[in-house]
This record gives sequence, C-alpha cells and structure tokens, in this order.
Amino acid sequence: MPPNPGSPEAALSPDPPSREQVLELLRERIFRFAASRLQREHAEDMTQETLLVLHERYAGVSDPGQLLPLAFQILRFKMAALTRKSARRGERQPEEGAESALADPAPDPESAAAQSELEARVAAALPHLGERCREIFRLKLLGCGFEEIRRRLEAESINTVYTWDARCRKALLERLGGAWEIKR
Amino acid sequence: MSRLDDKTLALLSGYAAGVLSSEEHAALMEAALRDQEVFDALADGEALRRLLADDGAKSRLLAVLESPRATPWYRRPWTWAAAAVPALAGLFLLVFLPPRNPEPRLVAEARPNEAAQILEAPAAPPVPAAKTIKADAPAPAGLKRTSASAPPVPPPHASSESPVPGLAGAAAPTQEQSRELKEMVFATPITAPSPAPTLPPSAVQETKKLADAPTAALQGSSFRQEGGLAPDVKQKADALLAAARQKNEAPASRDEQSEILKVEFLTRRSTDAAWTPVREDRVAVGDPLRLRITTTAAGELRVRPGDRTLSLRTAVAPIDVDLGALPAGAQTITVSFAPAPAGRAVAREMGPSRSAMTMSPAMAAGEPVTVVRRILVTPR
Repeated sequence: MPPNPGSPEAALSPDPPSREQVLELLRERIFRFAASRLQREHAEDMTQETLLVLHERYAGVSDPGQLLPLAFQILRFKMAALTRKSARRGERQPEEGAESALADPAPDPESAAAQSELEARVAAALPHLGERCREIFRLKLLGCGFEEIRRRLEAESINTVYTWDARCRKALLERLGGAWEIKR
Repeated sequence: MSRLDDKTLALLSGYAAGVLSSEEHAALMEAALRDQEVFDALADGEALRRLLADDGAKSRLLAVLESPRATPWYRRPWTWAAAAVPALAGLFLLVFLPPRNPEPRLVAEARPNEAAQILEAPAAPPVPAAKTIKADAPAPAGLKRTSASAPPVPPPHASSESPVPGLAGAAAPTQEQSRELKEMVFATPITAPSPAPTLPPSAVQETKKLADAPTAALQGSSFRQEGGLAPDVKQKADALLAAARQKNEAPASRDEQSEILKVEFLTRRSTDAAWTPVREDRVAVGDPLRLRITTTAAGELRVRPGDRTLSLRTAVAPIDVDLGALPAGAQTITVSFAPAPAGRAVAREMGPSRSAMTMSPAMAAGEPVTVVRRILVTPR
C-alpha cells in the first residue's frame, strides 16, 4: 500500500534530493503559500526575494531540514515588511534581499508585540484544554520529545502519542480562532 | 478541512516546540517540500515556533500550565458549600423553630403507659382531720364549701402511734412548707372552743422544735423519744399540720376551675373550612373535633378521647387538640390538668346532664382527681 503523498513517509526517498531540486521544490511551495495570502505579483516578488536571500547568504546549506526553516523565517520577515510597507503610502517597493535585517536576531517591535499577543492568547487558551493536552504541552515545553512523552504517559506506541498531540494541536488552534496569528 | 494525518500534525506541533528528533525533523521537512499543505502549516506555525523558542515565554506558559486549573463554578466544592450552608440553615429553621403563628401548634405524644400510671396512681391519703380543722382552725375556703357533701371521713390515725398523722405516706414537705407550718403554729391563736391549757415552757420549746424541724425530724424517732407534748398541743399541732397539708392539696373551687381550665369545642364541615365553636351536643358523627383548652398556668395536661391518651405540656396560651372524627355513640373525653410544679390537679367534670357541673366526692375530699367530660356524638 503506497503511503499518503502528504505524509512524511512519502517525502522520504532513498536518494536525498540535490540543492537545486530542493530549491525548485521550495520555490513552488513558497509561491503557492504567498499566493494564498498576497496578491500574485507580490507573491512572485516574495518568492524571488526569499530565494535570493537563501542563494546569497546560505549558499552552503543544501539539507532540506535546514533550508526550509530558513525559508520560513525569511518568508515571515518579508511578509511582515511587505505588510508594513503596504501600510505606508507610496512605499510599496519591495526591499532588496541584501538590505534585509536578518542579521539581527532580536525581534523588531512589531514582531515583539505580535509575539506577546500570541503568548497571551496561548496562555489564556491552555487552561481550557484537557488534562492530557495540558500535560503533553507541558512536557514539550520542558523539552521532552515524543518518545519521552510516550514513556511518561505510558502510551502503548508512539503513534498513540502522535494522535493525542494532533488532537491537542487542533483543540488549541480552535481555541485561538483557527490561526496562530491574528490576520491584519 | 485538513487532510494531514495525526503524525504530521504531531510533528508540526513538535517542530513548533522544538522537540523533534532529527529523524522526525527531516521527515517533516521532506513532507513540507512535497506537500503544500504541510508547508503552509509549517509557515503558519512559524509564529508559534518563535514564541516557544523564547525562554521567557516558555517559562511563563509553564507557570500557567502548572498553576491550579481554573475550574468552572459548578465544579468548585466551596461554591456548593457556600450555597449549602444557608440552605441547610433555612431548612433547620423551617423544621425546628416553632412558627410565629400566635395559635400554638399542638404536638401530642400518646404515651398510654404513663397515662395509665397517672390515672391509676393512688391519690394522696385522705386528710383525716376535717372535723378537727373545722373546730380548731379556719379551714380553707374550698374545703368549707364541699364539706357538706363530703363522704364520711375515715378515722384518723391513732395519735399514740404517730405524732404527725397523715405525714407518714406523704411526701416530705419542703422548707417553704415547714416555714408555713411554723407561721401557722405561732400565728394561729390557740383559743379554740375549749380554753387551751397553759403550755409549760418545755412544751412551747417542743412546739418550736416541731415547727423548725424538717419533716424528717418530725417523722423521726427523736421527737417521740424526747418525751412528748401535752395532748392538747399535740392535737393542735396535728390539726395545723393537717390544715396545712389540706391547704396544699385542696382542689380548686368550681369558679377557680373555670378560670384555670377552660375547654371549648370546635368543628368544621370541610378541610377548607375554618374551625368554628360548636356545642358539644352538636358534634355529629364524622365531624372533626378540636378541643381548645385554655389554662391559666403551665402544667401537665392530659386528654383522653376514648382509649387514646394525649399527654401535653401546656403554657398559658390556648392549645388546640385535634381529636379527628369521632365515632358514633357515646364518647367520653377526659381532660385533666396539673399545674406545674405538680401540686394539685385541677379538673372539670360534666355530669350526664351536660350542663351541670358537679363536684365528685373525691374532689370534695381534696384529692387530686381526674374529672370526666362526657359528650354524646349524635348521628347525622
């Protein structure tokens, strides 16, 4: 029985993809993601700028496990910058990739405010979760992996923990209104 | 609707929390490259990942999780306790506190054994010195009135046997009775029909001893052993003691009885109707009967409708006694009352003519009597 195409098992292949293959796949994913949230021209610009940063600053990274998180962070910064610029009159030009503030790990005030807001929402939602969900979330905050969680909760298999955690994620997301961040 | 399986969702949350193993992390990234929905979920969850990567935020969320969980009010025990306390207090007041209705609510307890004891208890020994009292000392008013119909008085005890006749079987008098006796001995002029002989000083002293001594001394042998009183003094003392005792035990006069114990009959035609006074000869079969008994003092009240006995403790206020529907035929209702402390019994008696109140011989003799009130239940 072939695995689900969207499952991690299906993504795993005996031969690791090359950097070019990864970037090609990544381009498609970034564009589709941006197009679902921005206008098409903005989505294309956003994709180009993200890939440009990855190409110029992280040329040595070819592992998808490293490239994707980098792509998420860059994409997030780009989208935030676009949102800010869209709010300003006459400043809708996209930034150059080299001018991005990726070097500063500290969040800008807007990101800090958004993070603080998300923290407050999560803190308000956590007490309403079930006891098991609270315990799983607590163990994850303590740094426990799924195997450790399985042992602590005395689950039969790791898949049981995956199921519990998936339900808890859904419950928490529903408590937050269906999105981690408030749409602006 | 997300089509992601549970493992992918769990890996997404684990990625946000930063607890994925290297294999899980690689699998998730591979899945994100091949599946747009996984990629979107990862990109959307980037905010949560950044939040959970902050140690300060992580510790604050841990504090939230480790604090006592906020439970809804209906699951908090103290909420129910706070609500239960006034509820129980109100229930307690409702059940145990008497109502403020001025009409007292009767709580009757049928105690046939006790009632039988009381009704069958031997009366106090008859006071044998009626004639002596009449001759030598002023008798109580009630006794004078009833002396005409009094039965033959049993002969008194031989004075040679007991210097204080009538006290042998009676209860010991209290200090107050002793003081009263002393007053009577010294205040009553001993100038009865025959001139009293001059008492020798020793006899006067003996008389004082008699008055001052408690009853035990009066009954004790020391009194007799110290040589006795003169016969007149002894007789006088006997008479005064008998008078004092008779004064305590004499029944109330008829007027006094009416004041002390008053009985009214009430009935009603339906359960919704109010109780209305009714003549006792108007009580019909099946009609509920209520006795409204008024006493001028607190005491023991006993009502015997037929075979039942209701033993009550009354106050000054009227008391209603529900007797229920009376059966056909002659019905005897006995009402007796003893003021507290139990000194004398007051009762009322209705003879067969219903309207005539007569004194029974026992009442005339001063005994605590139980008087019967008879009513005839008429058929409908």
